[in-house]
Amino acid sequence: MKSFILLMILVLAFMLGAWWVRRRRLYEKYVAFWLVISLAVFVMAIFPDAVVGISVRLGFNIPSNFVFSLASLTLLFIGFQLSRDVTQLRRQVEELAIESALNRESKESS
Amino acid sequence: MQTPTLRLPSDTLVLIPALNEEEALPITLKVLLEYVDAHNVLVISDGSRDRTVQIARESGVGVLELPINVGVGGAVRAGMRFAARNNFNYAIQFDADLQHDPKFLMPIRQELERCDVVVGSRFLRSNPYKISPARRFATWILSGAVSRRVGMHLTDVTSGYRGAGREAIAIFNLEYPSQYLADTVESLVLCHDRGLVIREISTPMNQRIAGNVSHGIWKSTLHLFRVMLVLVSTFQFKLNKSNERVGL
Repeated sequence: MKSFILLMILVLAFMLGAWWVRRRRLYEKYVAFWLVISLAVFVMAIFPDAVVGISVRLGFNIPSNFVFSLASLTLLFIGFQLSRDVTQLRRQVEELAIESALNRESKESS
Repeated sequence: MQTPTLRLPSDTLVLIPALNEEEALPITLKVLLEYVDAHNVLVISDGSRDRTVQIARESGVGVLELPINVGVGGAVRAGMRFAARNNFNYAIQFDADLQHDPKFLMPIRQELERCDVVVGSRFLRSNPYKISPARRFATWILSGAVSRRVGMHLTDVTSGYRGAGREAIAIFNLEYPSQYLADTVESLVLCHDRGLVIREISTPMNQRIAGNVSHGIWKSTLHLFRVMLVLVSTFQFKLNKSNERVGL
């Protein structure tokens, strides 16, 4: 029952993602990102014993700590990725501003 | 010593990055135009919201009007690109606040015939202009580190009074770093890594014009922090490989 609800949520998330891609609200890249994460959460929900097993083997006293660390690491990674993207966007905006200024100048002076 | 009436040759462009400088710009341009012809001056308005562009236009100098604020580094990059596309042999950065003395434009221009990048140093001779101890400390650390990195003694690596020859323009017009403070330092390291020759000449600041030098403790701390950041970010990596071109 629990996994059924989770499956529903996953399907809903997938549909939402597809809809956002269609509406150009999100790039495929980011949708794929979140889908992979939700898939991972889903797998962990179906096989909690596996998660417990892994966390014990990794030396976590409490399995939930393992899940929390995993979550925060993932978020860290996402944050890093996004700041990289923002940096690139800023550079592109700068370049556009510079080219626009140069174009305008050459138009006015000719 | 050059006579001040000697005008800068027409193969040299003076770049003035300006952000909301409507108060200082009229005086700066008036003084500057005693040394340079108007069509050899380019004011780069970095998204100014005041009358900067208008004032520059009225005085007859060239104007680049950046639609948004891109930071000093971006403005310099824009100016260097203008210089590159309009076939200037030399480009000299100049401050909109008249912190730089225009009588050194000619010495910088002449020195550029012997090297690729000329830095006008405030500290080279024993006429140091007064700055707060924290800022002085920060400048000292940075200069020491950069000197070691580029293998020559530099006294003022954050100076914004500098000249670039053709090769330097070719690099700067594409890759001049954007970040504040990092721009001056990083651009020197960049030049060195590309095999350009850097030289420093003494350009003491005009104390009479250079305004308030007092800084609050927070500003100084922030400045130091920035310096640290610049040190780690610039020096970890060799800037040899060309930055990936920005895909537009």
